[in-house]
Amino acid sequence: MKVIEAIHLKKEYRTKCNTVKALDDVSITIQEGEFVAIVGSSGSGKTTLLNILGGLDQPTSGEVLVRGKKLNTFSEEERTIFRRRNIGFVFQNYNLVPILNVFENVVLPLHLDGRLIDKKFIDKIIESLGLQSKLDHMPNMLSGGQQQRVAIARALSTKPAVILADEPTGNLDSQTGMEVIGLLKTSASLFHQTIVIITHNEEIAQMTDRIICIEDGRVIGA
Amino acid sequence: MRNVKNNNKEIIKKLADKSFKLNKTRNYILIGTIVFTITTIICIFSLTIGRLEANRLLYVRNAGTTAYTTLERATQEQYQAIKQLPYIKQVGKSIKIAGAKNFDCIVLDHTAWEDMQKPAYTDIHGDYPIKTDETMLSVRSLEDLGILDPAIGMTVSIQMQDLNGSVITKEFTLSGFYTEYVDDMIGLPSGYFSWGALNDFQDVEMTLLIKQNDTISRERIEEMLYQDVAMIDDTQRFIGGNTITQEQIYKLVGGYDIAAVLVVLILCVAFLLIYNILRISSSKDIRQYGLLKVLGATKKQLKQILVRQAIKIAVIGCGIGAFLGSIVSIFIIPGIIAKMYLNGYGGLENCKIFSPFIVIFAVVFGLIIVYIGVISVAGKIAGLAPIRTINAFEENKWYRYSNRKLTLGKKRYSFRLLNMAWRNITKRKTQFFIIVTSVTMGMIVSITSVVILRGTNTVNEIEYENPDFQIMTNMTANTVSAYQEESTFFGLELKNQICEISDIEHLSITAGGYGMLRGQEDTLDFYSDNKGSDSFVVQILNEQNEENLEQFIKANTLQVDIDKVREGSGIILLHYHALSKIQEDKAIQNIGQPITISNMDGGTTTEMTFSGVMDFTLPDFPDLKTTWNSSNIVYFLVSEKGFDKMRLTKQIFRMDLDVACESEPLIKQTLEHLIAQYNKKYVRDTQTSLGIAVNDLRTVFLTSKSDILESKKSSIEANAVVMGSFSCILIFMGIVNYISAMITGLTIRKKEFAVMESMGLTKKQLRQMLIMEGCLYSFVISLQTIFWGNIVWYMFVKIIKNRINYFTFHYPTIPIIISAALLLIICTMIPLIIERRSHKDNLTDRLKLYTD
Repeated sequence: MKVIEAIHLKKEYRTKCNTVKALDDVSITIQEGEFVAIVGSSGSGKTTLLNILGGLDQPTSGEVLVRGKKLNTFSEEERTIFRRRNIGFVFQNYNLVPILNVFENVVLPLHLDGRLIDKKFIDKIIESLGLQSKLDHMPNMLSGGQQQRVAIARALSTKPAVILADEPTGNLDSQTGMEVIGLLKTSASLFHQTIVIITHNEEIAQMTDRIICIEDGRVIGA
Repeated sequence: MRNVKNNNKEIIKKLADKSFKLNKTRNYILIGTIVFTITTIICIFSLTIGRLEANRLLYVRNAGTTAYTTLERATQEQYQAIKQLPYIKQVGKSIKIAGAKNFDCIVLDHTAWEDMQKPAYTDIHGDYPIKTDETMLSVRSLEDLGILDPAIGMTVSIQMQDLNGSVITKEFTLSGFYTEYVDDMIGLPSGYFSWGALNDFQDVEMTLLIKQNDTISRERIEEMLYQDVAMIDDTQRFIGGNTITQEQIYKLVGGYDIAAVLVVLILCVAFLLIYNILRISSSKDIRQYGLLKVLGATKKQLKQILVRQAIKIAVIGCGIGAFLGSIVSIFIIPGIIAKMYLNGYGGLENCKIFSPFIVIFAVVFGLIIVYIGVISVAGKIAGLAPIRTINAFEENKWYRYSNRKLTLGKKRYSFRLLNMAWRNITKRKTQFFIIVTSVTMGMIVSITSVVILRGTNTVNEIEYENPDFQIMTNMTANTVSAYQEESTFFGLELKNQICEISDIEHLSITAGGYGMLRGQEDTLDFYSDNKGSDSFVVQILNEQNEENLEQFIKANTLQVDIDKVREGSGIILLHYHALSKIQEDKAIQNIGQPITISNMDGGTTTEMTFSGVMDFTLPDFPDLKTTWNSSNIVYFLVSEKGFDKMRLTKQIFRMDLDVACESEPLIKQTLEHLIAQYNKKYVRDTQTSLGIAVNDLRTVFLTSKSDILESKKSSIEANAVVMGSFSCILIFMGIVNYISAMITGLTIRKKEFAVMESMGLTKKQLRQMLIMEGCLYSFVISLQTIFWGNIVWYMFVKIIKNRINYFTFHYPTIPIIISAALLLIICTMIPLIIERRSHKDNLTDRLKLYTD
């Protein structure tokens, strides 16, 4: 089943002097349960593509469907709520909310949604990511790897359709980075998650099910 | 989608509360700013009210009443008619039953006592008389009766003369006594009697004491009342007055409209102060709100988080501000006002300066500003694309230029640093604009208040209305008949001695004569009830006087035949608002009629032509230095030619001198000596029964402007202190905005400084850059202040000068220099202090600062 479908996406940034084509007619499909890597050189359009797939940015033209729903038909508020419930994000610099502890960070999207917390499920995530002893800690008391685990747990907590990870190991040493990717992969199979990551790391890309190469805003290999 | 519940109050509360707890510095700055703003608003308004109240009390206590307008010889029907009028607030009855030696015997109704007279008195002991044999007297009257230690219930013997002339002596029980402050020269104090006392007096005279609505001027109220109320005869008249509030607002700032503009400007400065700090402090958390948005927080949820925090801050800030402002208004400002303005005038009794409405207004205003500010900021943050806010710092433009510019060569080093400083302060255009605007506004409003308050100062009024020296005769038309025809009452010898004094810059002599009205005086029948006797005083108009009067007559389309006066046959009757409307109309009808006059002993008679009446109290009446003039003195104006025709003994009434500033003390001494020598000839041996020497009316007296200024010294100093405090508060308001914005902004820029240091910027270079940023800010603000300030001051001065003729504009050079210097010091000191404090943490920690 298709989880994400991007159809003829284009994203252009117009300045006074010229037009920059960040994405140039990109069409991709990601199936449920896939672990996909998007690779490409700096400035190739990877992050732009990820942001558009996640509803954080709007394409100049083209469509994005997540679980069959067209993102461009939603209002901003609908898109926000849809993103909250269907898309999980993991960032390079973790982006934990510094005023909340680990547990509160993990369940934040659920609280924003006003939903009851599925405690068993959350406990399972926390256990699988080895965060049991850190639940009361504030983010600034954790190492980079631990913070990234919290970010992954947060992304998983809403049982999203897809997790989008932008360079999740970028700020980590190689060993920790591999651990995090391992956790992502495990979580993907354990919780039947679809995961799309952006990475520069060849080794990490090879651990995924599929690699999408993007260059100059175009998909050159998948 | 739309049907799914989205209940999340708890997380909003949690996020708001945690964010509030962790942002202590921001909270302190915001709360402090709100406290300062609320306290300042309350203090400014309380100070202004205090000043107005003090002036009002002075005015009321000097006048002896709070009534604005009066109607003499009123009837009960007129009372009823006036009471019904929609523009009349209150009307009370004051009934004169008799006159005692040193006071008038008056019966008041409840309104007249409670609302018109009582507020003009202080230290009131006892009650208004109820029984027929009770009386309430002023302390001054009791002292005149020989009672120095009055007590309620004591018996007082009063000799009184009723309006028919019969003298009776009665004993009264003292039901109360009070202190009043009416000048002896203006009128006698009142002794009050009960309503029952009216039965003992057949002929009484009722005067209505009237208060009109606050916005109705003297001229307008008379016009309205004459239109709506029938007079009993030609001579009955309304004597209108400006409302006290209007008078005081007018004298303070030139009118209600200017006061309103100043209030709005002050509130705008307050608004910008709080809004700016809110905006800057919220931008610090923009990344956090961006993250929440990425995670799925809607705009509404983000707004709720911000608003929740803002409400807490606002409530705390407004609460403390209201408390502090109230403390100052209740305990400090009244003491200052009383000491400065009402020393010797009964203090602040019967006066309220603190107004809970001001506190409520200030608090509500503070809450509204915070709400508007936070909604505006929240809307802006919520409206940003989430991916932009989450990457807010990485996008910071300074990265681009600082990388290039940091490898500074020695050449053009300062220019590059200046360039960096300029780009730093202008990169956040909105912030730059708001800071510059708010500080500039604060400075302009402050300096404008200095210009206005200095221009309307009592000193200017005294300077405008008084020459340096005025030497005047004591003789009047009412008393001249006791002397021989050829007597002169201002010796020629004295006049010549005065003229010979050196360093006199300007000298004017007012001359004229005294005479008698003879023969048939139908021409002046409209004035018959006013004049005390048939003697009159006539003043000679010089050319300038004639010209000024002619312009005034034309401008006000008065019916006065000035040409006849110039020819030498015309004579104008000058009065001090003594004529009723009917009398004035009759006077116009009599223009051109003959008036026969003679000298004092009747030896020579002359026929002059009546040319009209002029009211000395009309607004913008030309400057005319008169001799003694009151409602019962017939006062004529003629030309030189006209006076020659009258063949009266020429008298010098007064001499007015303006002298070189540095010579004033010496000239004063000389004049005092000359006058003392002159007056020695006329010292009398007789004294009053109380042992007071009486001035012979052939003497002259000296009034010097320096003495008047000296007598008003405490009031002048008080005004200077109040004015100074007022403008300091306003300047401070603008500067606090700058300080708060800088502290907040520089706190946010800590990482920026750390990164620049890590790339090679030395501490010295950083300090120099910050000093340049401060200098640039102060330079831009000072320029804006001078540019916009000149426009504002020009406008204000033009408006006020039309309303207050003694208003003097002094270009505010010193306030501008002081403000600019203060601003420069603060603009450079604050960044340096912040930067020094930031260096307490090591570079690595500062680099990690924002990421955490």
